[in-house]
Amino acid sequence: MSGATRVKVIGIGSPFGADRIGWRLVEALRAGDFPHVVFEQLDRPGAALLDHLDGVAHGVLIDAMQGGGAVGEVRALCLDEVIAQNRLLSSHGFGVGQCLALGQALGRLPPRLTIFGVEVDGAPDRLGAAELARIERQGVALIGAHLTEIESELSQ
Amino acid sequence: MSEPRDVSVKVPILARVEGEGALDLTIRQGRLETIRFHIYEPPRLFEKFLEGRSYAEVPDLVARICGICPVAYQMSAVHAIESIFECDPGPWVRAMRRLIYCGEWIESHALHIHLLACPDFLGYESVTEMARDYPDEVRRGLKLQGLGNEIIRFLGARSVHPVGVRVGGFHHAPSGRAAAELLQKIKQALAEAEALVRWTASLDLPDDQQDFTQVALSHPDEYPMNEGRIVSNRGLDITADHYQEHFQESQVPHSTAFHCHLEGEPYLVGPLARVNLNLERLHPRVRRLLDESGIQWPSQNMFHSAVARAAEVYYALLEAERILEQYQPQQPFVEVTPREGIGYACTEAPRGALWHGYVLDDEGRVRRAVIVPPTSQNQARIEADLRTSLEAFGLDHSDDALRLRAETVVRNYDPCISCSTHFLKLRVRRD
Repeated sequence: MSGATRVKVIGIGSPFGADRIGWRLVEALRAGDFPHVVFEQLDRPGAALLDHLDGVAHGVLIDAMQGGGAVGEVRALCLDEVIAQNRLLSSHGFGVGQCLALGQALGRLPPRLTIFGVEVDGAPDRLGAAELARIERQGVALIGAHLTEIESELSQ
Repeated sequence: MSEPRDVSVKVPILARVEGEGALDLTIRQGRLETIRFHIYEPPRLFEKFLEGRSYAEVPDLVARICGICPVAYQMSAVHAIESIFECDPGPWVRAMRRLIYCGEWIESHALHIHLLACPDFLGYESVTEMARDYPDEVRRGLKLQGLGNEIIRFLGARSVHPVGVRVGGFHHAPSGRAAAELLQKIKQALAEAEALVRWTASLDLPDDQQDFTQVALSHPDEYPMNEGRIVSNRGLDITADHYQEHFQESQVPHSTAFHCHLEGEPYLVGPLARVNLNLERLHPRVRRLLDESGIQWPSQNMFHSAVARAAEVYYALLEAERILEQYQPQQPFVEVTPREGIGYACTEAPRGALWHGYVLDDEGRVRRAVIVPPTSQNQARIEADLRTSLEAFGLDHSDDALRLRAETVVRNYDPCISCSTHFLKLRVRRD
């Protein structure tokens, strides 16, 4: 795979609770037919997220968020919105929003970047297995469709 | 001259520290009456979580205390437990423990210098703003931080809450090839670390000389990380098992973290104390840079902590280079035999001395654990520094100026509110 066409999907989170939702979605998407896509799961990377985006032509980030929406809602967020509101969950005060703002200032973001937030409402342990499975199906459908579009572009 | 004002200032969130806390200042008739550095993050109860757990689970459990300095918690824990088991894991494990600690110092210090402290010194709200004018410096900081994380991953498998450490050594010995690749990256970063020391020394840091007690480990043969006696600039010289005879933790109503005092007095732990008390143990190249910095070492200016951190980044890279140049994969651990007993250890976390004490039963299960993190030890010193610094700064400054100065003072200590406390709401009352 050449550097210019590199597509990377990064699930951000930690091993437990709702914060793991980004990882779960990456695990599910990895099973799909996306030959041009590299998948990664990162445990609260902080500023090191930029290292993982270096050389990536199209980055796709998936993270849990607390945006006041319905639990399980999966939304595509624009970069400015993430930077301005910093709603994605963060650890140690340097979250995805701050990292992306820093990457923007340093000119280190991929030319194309898509961010998906999964609403968790801060209540990870109250989500049952059925609810998590529903969220996963919803996320895989939405993000999978996006990856299919990317694959289609790259095949042309 | 204007009359002293009665003013109340509130800062909803003080950014760029690890955790959540608050600061209350009461100024009455132009005099600073009370300062309270609140740590209101809920108690995390790790010492209780450890009770009943096997010694084998302790390294992974204590690593969860902090995402920035998990290695420090693992190191203090394994040394304390091994002292009970009378276990000596040998020179290879000793060297690798030093190496993984180098990684943690590099990542934690590079993070603090560039993302947390320097925006204050250069007049920016955040590193994002600073990066527009200082892109090369910020890139250098991120690169060094990433390299520190890579050193941790080399032995710990991952940089956040690493899982490679066990009582008796490590679970895995990396390959010689992996070591050679890492060594190459470290060699390439040395010039940048040297430049970082020169850069921090060139910053226009506040001139704030204070008289305070400083505490760090001291080792006869090396700059201290995992071993040594606990010493101070005022004559303290003890082993870790005598710690509780001299240091007392106490609860204050405004904090969920204990305050720790040395013989009833505040004291400093951390990079400035370490450098001041161990100048002769620094690598000659680091020492030469400090001598050329124009700063008189030992320094009583807390703001020279930034230079001390940079010096330790450079030292840790040189030390990592030395260790990796001799690296050969070996059996990475020794078997241990659990036994009943009491053990203590103190190691040097990036933010300062981290003391652990354990009581184990005859199967090696934890009966009792006591953990004294650096931020708890620095909390009383931070309050004392705030009083001195703000009075020297001038209480007639605007509330915004006072708030910024107070935040700068607190951030300079690199407090980890998650270890003992997050950052900071400031409320100023003027009566």
